[in-house]
Amino acid sequence: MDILISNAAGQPIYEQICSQIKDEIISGRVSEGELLPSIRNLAKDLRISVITTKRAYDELERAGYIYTVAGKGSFVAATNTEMLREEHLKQIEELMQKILELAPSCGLSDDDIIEMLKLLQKEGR
Amino acid sequence: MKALLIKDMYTIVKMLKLYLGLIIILAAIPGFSSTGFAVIYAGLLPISVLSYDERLKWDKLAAMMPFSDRDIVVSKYVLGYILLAASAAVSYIGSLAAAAFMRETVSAELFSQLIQICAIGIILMSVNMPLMFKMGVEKARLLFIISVGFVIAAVSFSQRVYESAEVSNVEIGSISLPLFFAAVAVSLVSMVISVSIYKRKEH
Amino acid sequence: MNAIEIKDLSKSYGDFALKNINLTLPSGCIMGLVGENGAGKSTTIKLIMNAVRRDAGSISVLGMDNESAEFCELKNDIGVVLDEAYLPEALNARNINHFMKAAYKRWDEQQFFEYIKRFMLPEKKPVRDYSRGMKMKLAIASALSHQPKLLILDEATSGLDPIVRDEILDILNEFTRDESHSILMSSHIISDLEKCCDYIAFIHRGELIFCEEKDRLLEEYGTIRVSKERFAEIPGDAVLGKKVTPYGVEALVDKSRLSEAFVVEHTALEDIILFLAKGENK
Repeated sequence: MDILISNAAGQPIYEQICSQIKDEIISGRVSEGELLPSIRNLAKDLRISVITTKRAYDELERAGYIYTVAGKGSFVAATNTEMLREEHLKQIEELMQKILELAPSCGLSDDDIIEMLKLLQKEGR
Repeated sequence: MKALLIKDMYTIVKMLKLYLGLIIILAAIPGFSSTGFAVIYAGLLPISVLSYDERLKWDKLAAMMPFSDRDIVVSKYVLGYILLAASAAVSYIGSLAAAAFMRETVSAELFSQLIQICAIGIILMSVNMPLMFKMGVEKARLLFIISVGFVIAAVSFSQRVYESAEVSNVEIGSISLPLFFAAVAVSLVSMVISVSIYKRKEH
Repeated sequence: MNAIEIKDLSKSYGDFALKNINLTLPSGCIMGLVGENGAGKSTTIKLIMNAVRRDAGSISVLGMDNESAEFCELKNDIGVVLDEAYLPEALNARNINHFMKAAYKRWDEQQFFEYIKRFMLPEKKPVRDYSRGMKMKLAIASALSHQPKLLILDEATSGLDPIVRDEILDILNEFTRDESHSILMSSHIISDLEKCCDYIAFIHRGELIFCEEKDRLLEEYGTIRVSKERFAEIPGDAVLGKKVTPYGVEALVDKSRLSEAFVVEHTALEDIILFLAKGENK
């Protein structure tokens, strides 16, 4: 499993761990039931804080990606597509929220935003 | 305690070689005054070690290690006893060897003389130690020199008194054991004082 | 369990006072102690080891009150490296081994000599002929070789070159792979602390300014560079320290109290500390 921590990214370290482990799970590179590295070993291997790593694992557990068996460690939980969809929907919603926040500062109306989206879609193709 | 003695022994062997050599030579030469010097020097070696410790601020590290204040203080006294006993033993063996070489018998009062010298050594050490722990070796140096001078004067004075009064050897011998026990008592009191001084210090 | 728990600790000397220090180092973690010279870091460490007696408050180390009679025995579980080695300098590394073996219950001779080799220290040379760096390495080797549960390092890595320092940070990092092991270390080199600590405690003029999780500090605080007019819009409680120049304002801010319209830069721990230390002078 690859986890790459960047100190310059500005993104909090626990978020980096969270999202990278999530990606590994979503992409299927780690499979259901697989044992994840222990919090302490991961922290020490990456030379990052144990507390931060624990925070990342807690977050993943809360989101249902992993589960912890006391004394044994953390395992990859069964992922269902519904959960993934929800996750992605949530992300889209967040990004849209951001657009709506930033739009007034550029004097963009809702129509302008929709126009922009269509333009991007065209370019994408 | 054992660890502290190991450390001090290494320090003596490595840093105070000259002193140690002088003590052994003096001890090996038969005769009251050379033996006296040897044993008293030996009894004062712990103070030299203490001075070395002080210069290195050893007490700061010692406070972090599993040594009690009592161990740290008492080990210096024990070191003194060991050195006194060793130098007295060397003196005794030296005298025996010299006597054998000269085909003579050892003088009867040799043993009691040695005990008296040891007693003087212990008293000297006991008087000085609390001062050293209280003021530090550097500051207590003058008092130390005065006390050594005083003891040497007292010993030579009492020797002269013995000679002029023609006190018999038996009588001299009879005071050696009480003197020795008195010295041990003084050193125990001194130890208690030193420990309480050291306990009050911050490192 | 907490490795170190300090509550309302106070100690005053003639012209210096440590006031009301509260610190908790959870077991398995590394805490960095930061502060200027004379801020009270060394005094705090001496108080923890009860080499200096406190005026008020309580200190428990590895679950034991450090003024209890058994604390001396507990020192077998604590490895301390002070700002100087203070080792008996007439001895060489082998003699030190002999001495330490008698001093500590669980002295690991083999491990000691492994560190001696790793740090490339001569075994037969007396310590007084060592350089400062070598002495410190020997002190660190000694502290690590009696199988301690808690390591306390007071400026132990200052004066060592960056490569050796990094190697020591690696050793410390490995040491805490065991969750019953903890470290308290003070250093002037904040980047070293940023590399390996879980918590950062900042002592300034005898007072504890904060004791925080390192990554939270880095997440919550940031720097902004704005014009003076723009700076006036920022709520006062969001600003933790500022530097005003004729061309604008550079300020350390609490991100959570600031609107997202501001561009907040990631700030190194060192700069956070500097801002906070100078902010006090305002």
